[in-house]
Amino acid sequence: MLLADLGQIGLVLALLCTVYATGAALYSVRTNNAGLLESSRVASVLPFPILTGVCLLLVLMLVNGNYEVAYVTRVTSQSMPNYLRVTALWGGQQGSLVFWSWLTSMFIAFMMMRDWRHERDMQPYVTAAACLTLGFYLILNVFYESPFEKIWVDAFGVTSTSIFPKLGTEIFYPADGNGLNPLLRHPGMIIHPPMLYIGWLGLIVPFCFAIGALAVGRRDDVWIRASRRWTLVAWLFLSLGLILGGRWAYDVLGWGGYWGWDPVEIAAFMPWLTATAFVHSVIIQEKRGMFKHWNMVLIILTYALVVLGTFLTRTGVLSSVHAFAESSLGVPFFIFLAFSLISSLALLIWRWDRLQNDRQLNSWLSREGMFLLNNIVFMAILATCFWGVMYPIISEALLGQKITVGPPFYERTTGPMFAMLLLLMGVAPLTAWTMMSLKRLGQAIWKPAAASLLGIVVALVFGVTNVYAILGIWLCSWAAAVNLYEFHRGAMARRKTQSVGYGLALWQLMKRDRRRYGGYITHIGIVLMAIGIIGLELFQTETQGTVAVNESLTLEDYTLTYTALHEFETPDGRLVTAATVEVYQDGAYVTTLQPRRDFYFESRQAMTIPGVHSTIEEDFYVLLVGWKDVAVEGASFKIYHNPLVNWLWFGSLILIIGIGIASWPEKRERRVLNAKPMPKVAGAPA
Amino acid sequence: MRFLLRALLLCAAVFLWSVSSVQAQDAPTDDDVNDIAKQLFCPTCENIPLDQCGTDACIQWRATISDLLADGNTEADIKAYFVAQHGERVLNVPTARGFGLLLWLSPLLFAVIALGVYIRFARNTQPVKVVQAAPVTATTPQADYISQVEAELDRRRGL
Repeated sequence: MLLADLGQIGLVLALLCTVYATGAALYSVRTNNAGLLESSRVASVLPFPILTGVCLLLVLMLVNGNYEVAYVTRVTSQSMPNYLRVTALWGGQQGSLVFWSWLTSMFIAFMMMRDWRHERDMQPYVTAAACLTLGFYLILNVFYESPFEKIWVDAFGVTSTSIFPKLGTEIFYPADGNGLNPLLRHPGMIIHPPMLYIGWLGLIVPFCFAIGALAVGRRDDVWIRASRRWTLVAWLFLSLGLILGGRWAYDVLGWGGYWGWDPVEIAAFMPWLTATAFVHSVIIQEKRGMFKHWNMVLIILTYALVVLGTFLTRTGVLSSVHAFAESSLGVPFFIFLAFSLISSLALLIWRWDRLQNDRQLNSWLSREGMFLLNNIVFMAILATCFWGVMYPIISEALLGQKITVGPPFYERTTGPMFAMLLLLMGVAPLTAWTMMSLKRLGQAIWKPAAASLLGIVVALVFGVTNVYAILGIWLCSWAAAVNLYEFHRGAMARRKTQSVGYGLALWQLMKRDRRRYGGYITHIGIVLMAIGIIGLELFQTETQGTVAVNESLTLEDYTLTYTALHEFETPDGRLVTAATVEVYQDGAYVTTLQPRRDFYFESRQAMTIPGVHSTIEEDFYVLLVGWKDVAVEGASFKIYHNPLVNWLWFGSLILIIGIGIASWPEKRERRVLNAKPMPKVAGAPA
Repeated sequence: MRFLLRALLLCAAVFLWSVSSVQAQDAPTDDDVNDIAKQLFCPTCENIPLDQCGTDACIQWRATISDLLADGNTEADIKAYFVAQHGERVLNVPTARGFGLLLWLSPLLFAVIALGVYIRFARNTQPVKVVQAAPVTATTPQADYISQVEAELDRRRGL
């Protein structure tokens, strides 16, 4: 028996476990059979070790170079180093689907191994929802896109791929594979997909808890408290995945930017929008017992957008540098998307009356009112993005041609909405719960408002005259001032009441209310990112030209002098053409860069890798342009001047730290959550 | 004779100036080409702007842009040329007319709906009924804030 056969058997076994776990969990409710429920729990955990074994088998075949397996041939080659062969696990459609299933099984296993004593009534439904999701992905693995298909050859030398041999064929052993797509060989791209997958799949956990709560008709917020940490961790990884994707685009795609409003990028961004709205909105339910329907809608929408995102990426509906090739997954994905959306919304409608809010909104000028507005703006951005992604598909159906919706549409339409979010990021922390008078808000606001004017002064001093830029910088300084002011106010309050030093007071605040102050740090990260985005979007300049050796190109206060060109082959199958350029700023030598073009022999693809001189103020980004003839006598360069772009990456780091702090477990909280008695629900197993 | 010589020199100067102008017009820079190319998408390389695409088809398109610029065509002329050849899908965003108008108006509609939802909620607010005057523990915004912070920290400590 071949390793590939073992892998396929593993996939089938994992699928059988999920089918059993789903059936047993639901039947345990009907029969009130605690033993059956426990059996379903064990069955729902089992796919994790099984799929771990499957993934290890696949990695073993990738590293060993078992080219009789079609997937191994497709994504690896002898010239690839071992670490790239391992990452080739998620470098193609079939392997990444197995990896996806494995991550899903990991989340389910961790979720099912938790202490369920206090949510026992929800457990069968949570198990069923989770296993249905995993089961769907495993069906795709087993029946549509298996990475364990082998290559067969008939008597005429014609090759085909399938799990089982066809009549008159024998297994075929190619000498070498095609190699991994060059775009996927960058460190950013090696980490980016797993981060994004963890983020997306982690959001399944709150969804399953929501379905469990709806199924048993719970009115309380236990489902939110039980899944809150999972939600924050998933949100952290989703944010990290998006940021790494942006960094990869900046380093590899060779266009001087980080975000191209590509449909697949937007497909990954949409669940982030709803998850971000959800992360804010659940606070209101926890603190005030409000927005119960809305939180359900948000988490159902988030789950549906995750499925939609995978549907768009994996079926070939949308073309993108991020998308997999066209596949046969369209119909099953569409059916599953429709099923999950319709069934969960039907469940919500069924339980609508039971989810009455404990309180009503008392005033629009309150923390709740600001959070509501924040959520509505997020939804408006989501609707705009969704419309932009769907428009080409709709236009193709109605007009017969896929109309392109490029970056200008998204930038012009979502720009004001993001500005609104920055404004709210400054107002909301200053508002009180329940209600607040304008006078009281004014008293709280004037100091940060005055401080934020400093941003305008700095912008003017640096010669910024663009009105949009000045407005954007003011909004950033406003949001930053308020969030920093909140730290200051909290620390001063602690100093007064506890008679401790300022530093200790700050530390106590952070330690005791990680969620709140972690959130403020996240806001500050967003503000820094926004400054980077403003710099790049409004002040990026570029030029392109062909120069001979010792000739120069000038952009802003930088001058590039082309000095040499080198061409050489590398052991991993690349022909590297690297130009050496000296960079001068205001006439003074700064650095020497080597922008290059890597041509991969196996895939016949070229990659343009920039040479970048980075400072806190700007990047000087040089590309050796691929579409002009490259020669010692003359080479074409495209140069970008990217002001403030590094604030984007620095802000990303702060954002991740902030989310990390906010999601860090608090022992006391967990203890109290566990100590809460569980309300009995008729029919639920003991 | 001197007048004739001057006239000839003037004609030569005008000729040279016009030739150099034509030559300058003949050779648009890469930046001129990119300014237009970044607004176009080739139908075969979906979602990659023309100024960034390295396929042979896109190289050919950029050469066409360069030729059209050299012939004195404006940016609008060149975009119209490509639209006539390949349809509106070559533009990075559709123009705001016909079906394209729907694309541009929809975000406005979403914003109006969002505002409408918020106004609806804001109108349905229930003002807090003061049943009994609360004991006065905080008299200034600062004192009020301090008690809020402490209450919040106490709540978390008690969790």
